[in-house]
Amino acid sequence: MISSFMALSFVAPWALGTLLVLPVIWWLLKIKPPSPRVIEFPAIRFLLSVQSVEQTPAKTPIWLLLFRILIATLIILAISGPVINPPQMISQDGPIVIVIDDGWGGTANWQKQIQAVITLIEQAEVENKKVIVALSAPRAEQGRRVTSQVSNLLLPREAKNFVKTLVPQAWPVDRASLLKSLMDQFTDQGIEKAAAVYWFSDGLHEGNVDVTARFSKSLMTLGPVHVFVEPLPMRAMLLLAPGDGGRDFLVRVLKSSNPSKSVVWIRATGVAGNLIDRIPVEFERNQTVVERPIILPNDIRNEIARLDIEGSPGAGSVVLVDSRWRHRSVGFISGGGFESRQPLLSDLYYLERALAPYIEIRRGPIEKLIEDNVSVLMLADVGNLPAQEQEVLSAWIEDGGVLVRFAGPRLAAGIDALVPTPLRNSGERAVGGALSWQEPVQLEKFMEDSPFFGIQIPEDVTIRRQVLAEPSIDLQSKTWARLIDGTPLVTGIAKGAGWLVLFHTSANAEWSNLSLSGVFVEMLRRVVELSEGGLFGSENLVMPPFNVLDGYGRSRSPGPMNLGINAEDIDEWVPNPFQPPGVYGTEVLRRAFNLGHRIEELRPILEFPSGIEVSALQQSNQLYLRPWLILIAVLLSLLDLIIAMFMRGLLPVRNTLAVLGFMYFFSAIMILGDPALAQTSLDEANDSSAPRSLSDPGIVEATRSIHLAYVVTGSKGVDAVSRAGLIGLSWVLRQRTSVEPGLPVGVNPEEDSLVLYPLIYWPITNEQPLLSDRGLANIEHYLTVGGMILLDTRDQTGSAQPQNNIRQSPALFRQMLKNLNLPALSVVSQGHALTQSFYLMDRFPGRWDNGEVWVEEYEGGVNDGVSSLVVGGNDWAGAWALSPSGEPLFPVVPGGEKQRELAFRFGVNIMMYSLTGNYKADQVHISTILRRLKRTDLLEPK
Amino acid sequence: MKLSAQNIQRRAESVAVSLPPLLVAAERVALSVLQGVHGRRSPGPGETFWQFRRYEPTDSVSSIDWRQSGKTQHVYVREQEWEASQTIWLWCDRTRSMDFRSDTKHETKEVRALILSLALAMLLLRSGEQVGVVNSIGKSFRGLGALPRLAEIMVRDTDLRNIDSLKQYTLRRDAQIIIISDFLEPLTATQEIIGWFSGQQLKGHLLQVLDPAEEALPFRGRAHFVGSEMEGEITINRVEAIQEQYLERFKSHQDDLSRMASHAGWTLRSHGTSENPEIPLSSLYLVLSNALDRAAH
Repeated sequence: MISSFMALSFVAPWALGTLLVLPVIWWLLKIKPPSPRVIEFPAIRFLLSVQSVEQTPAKTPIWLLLFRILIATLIILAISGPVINPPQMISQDGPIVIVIDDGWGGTANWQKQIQAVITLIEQAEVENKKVIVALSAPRAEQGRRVTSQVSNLLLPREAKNFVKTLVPQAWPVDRASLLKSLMDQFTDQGIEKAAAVYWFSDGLHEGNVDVTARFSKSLMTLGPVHVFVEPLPMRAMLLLAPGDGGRDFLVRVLKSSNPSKSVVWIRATGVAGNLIDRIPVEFERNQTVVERPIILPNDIRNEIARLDIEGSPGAGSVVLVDSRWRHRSVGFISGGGFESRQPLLSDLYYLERALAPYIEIRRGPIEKLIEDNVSVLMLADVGNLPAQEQEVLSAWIEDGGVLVRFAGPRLAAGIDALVPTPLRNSGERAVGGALSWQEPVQLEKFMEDSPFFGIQIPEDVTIRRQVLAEPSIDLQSKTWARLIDGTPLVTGIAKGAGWLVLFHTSANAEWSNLSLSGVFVEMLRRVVELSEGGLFGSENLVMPPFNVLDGYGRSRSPGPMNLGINAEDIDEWVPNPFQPPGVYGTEVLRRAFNLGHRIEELRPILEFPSGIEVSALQQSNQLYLRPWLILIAVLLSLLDLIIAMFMRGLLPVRNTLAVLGFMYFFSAIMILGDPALAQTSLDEANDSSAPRSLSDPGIVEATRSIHLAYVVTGSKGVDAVSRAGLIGLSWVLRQRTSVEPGLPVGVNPEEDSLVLYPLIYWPITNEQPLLSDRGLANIEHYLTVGGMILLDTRDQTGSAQPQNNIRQSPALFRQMLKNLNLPALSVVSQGHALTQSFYLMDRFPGRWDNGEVWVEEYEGGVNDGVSSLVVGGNDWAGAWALSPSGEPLFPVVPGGEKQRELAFRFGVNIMMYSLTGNYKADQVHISTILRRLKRTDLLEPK
Repeated sequence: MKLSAQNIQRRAESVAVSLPPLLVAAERVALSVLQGVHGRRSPGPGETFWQFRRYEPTDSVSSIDWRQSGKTQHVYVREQEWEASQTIWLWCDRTRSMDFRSDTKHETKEVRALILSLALAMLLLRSGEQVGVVNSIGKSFRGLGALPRLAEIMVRDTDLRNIDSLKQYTLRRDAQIIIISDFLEPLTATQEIIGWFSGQQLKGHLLQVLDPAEEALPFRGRAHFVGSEMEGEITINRVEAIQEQYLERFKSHQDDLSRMASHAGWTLRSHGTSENPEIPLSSLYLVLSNALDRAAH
């Protein structure tokens, strides 16, 4: 306990002096009680007369006083910035030497590392010591020299600025040359006193164990060495260049150590940085190397330009992918007819067996294959191609295609011009034939200028038959493989960006056993590699840097120090300051140069020589209390605010219980964060879904008097008009009839209970969302229990049969007509109850006048024959709408107050119709109706 | 709510419309009273037949009922019943203290008072009485057509502001006066007004409009109360602690008020803004109608 107190120190101890102010705050709080709520109150005279009873002056309660003093104390403490476990002292007299591994391995923990370095320098600043910063990654210098960077003796301030500018490099460290520079520096500066050496290591061996040991020992000659290194699992990972796992990419990830099961995600991105795939690489316990294939369709796979270890920046986590990894596809075309009859003797069967493990194979007509973007086309025993196809093929070859042709009986019979070298007309020679061979002939070793150079030829490969090339001067240079008697077996020429290759023997085993041997496979693969950026013939090309990676693994344009690289060295060299990893080459031919090409293993430093103090980078067990103190102070202040509001009676709660409930709820949310708890409270609050009891105030209110209802469409203008219209209609109903409706109610068919309202006015808009099944069921229920809906399309076009005219109507209208179980609609006929339920009417204008009104056709069925749906388009609400001062809001069209009066009469009629049903249909007006009928009879005698 | 004359009128109409005059009429003996014309049970100017009497030399020749005279040997004069309508004066408190509501659920006392007075005016006008607003113009109106005019006066007229201002008006003796206010002033002020009008032999009705908060003092905790009309201010630490005493004082005020009213033969009705305005309206109308009736007999 005491020691932990001893370890407490303050960043700004002077601030503690302000604690002296606390008594003043105490005094201020005491004389200034919390201000009360101000209420204007007419009946104050009674209060004034009561006043004498409770005269005690208000003062701040003592607990509140203490509470506020606590807050003030916390704030003062926060300002003084207490720290538990402040950093230790530096014991050495001499300068501080800081060695930073800023090669690719350092990137993984770079920020932490720099932070630790800065903390160290700050401490050096306190103790007034000079600093030397040494960086182990070499830097490129003018004149192609590579040097290690060791700073002069720096003031801590300078050193801090210098360190802040550092970035990790994309290449490996060179500790040996660093050591040399460091020693030189010590001699130059004449430093005598023992230095304190801090090595911020990336934790990876450079070379073997001895090299590291030598380096550490040498460092110890300067002074005591303290190594900061991350624990093994935190050290850099390395992504190796993908291996060729046949059809699929094999991603390989190396880790220094893996004490428990873990997953590393690999991102595959395209040229534009677009994410193509993201695969997990699972490390089992203690497994440090994992291979995992990326399985993707070819086309997509070929777009991959870069692989990254997700969440681990750095050049070591990036592998750039070039065309060498591109998966090519080969198109097969055969002239022979074996394919269907004897598939095992077919040319293509052999080719397929040879290539299928490595490459995707497609078949089809030439045009189709070219369209599919195959890289290589293999024509087995195809003699004369049609001229048109020849043209297509030539153009394709010029564009970079590789056309490989194989001889055969058909080709021997006649050949077109699409061959690398002219063939003799007589064609083939065979063992025992006219141009006789005594015995089958073997292959000669491949020449150096041949793409096949380096392939070992087994002795038992013999050729029994072949087609012969016409001798010519350049035949020699075109020949890629020849027999021991010198006749060409494979010839090829470059055409444009592509290649034209001819195997002078057949692709099946008929003419030779070449196709049965492994050589054939190798040869074919070399040929396939020619396509799209094959290196053949350009080994000595110097490839300029195109895009290089920086230490964080980000692509950037090459700088002046970046040099080109020889194409043949790309797979041999390790990235260095002049040739950092990146993409080299030109637009046409590009090669990726990766760290993961040559570095095949990760060698973590497991132990340092004795005498070296090792600690993890995250050494900071210092605890800065300031943010926590501020957080507590703020929370307490909020609590104080709530208390103050409660004391002034400003909290919207009825009693203390409610306050407690509120606090309980609050703490439940904050501390437990239990979603289920929150859910229950929400459910209780949201009672709209709960079944309504009969004592529900909403129901009581809705049934106290009749209310007209309208459907809330969500469009403000329409809803306002509906409301104003129904208010107008209610007004008219009150004045003229015994129906005395209350204020209209907006309803939502999805949620509200509709059965409380006798008539619902529903303006249809185009913007309304479709109803859910629940909404439809609600409406259907409403209609079957006797409700009535007045559907107003408001578009003046009620003259067409709604159910037939469905296509032009808004989607919602369509949905309703389709899904509600409605009988057919018909125009309101003469004598329909609607025409005589209160007023006698023969048309039903609203704002518009020419629309018909539609009701259910069949009367006398359910609901006593009362139509539950009235459909029209006359925008009645618009005609009914009155302003608060009683004036109409909209003009009626074509116009006249008579039309508005008729609109109101329609409203009265439909209300009566909905309330009284059809009883008016027969009795009351019978005499008038009879008289009218008589009159029409007189006018139009039948 | 906007306090415009039109607005108040519309609201008042909607309150009055739902209070069917027929309901009140059921209490009444004579339908004619509802028609607004109260027969004076004595001959005089009017339209209803009262009696035939023998012609006297002072009678005008034109008053001779020739048909009746022709039936008998004497000459008869037709006399009508003397009919007259009552005048009701309205006054509505518009002081600062009326512009108060404790909760946005309710309307302010002022709005409620205006609605009540206008609804009352409408009912009375409809039944044919003369209705006037106590102000410097001193004019009363007849017929429903005067309603907008009355509404205009009530909302606009600044003469109506203070209850003390009532003391300058002298009204006709046979009229009745309805004073709508919160009557929270010291009782002496109310007493003076009652005395002033009683002295003029007027019968009056007090309609007190109160906010629920004034009736119950529902506040809690520490609060600083400020009077609406510069009566003073007070800070109270725990309002709930003095609630009982407040209610006591309030009740005694109310009791005094009602005693004062009944002493003068006036009536007092208390009405909270949270209640339905139709309740005091119908009761007041009923009393008025009965009173008119009684005056007529």
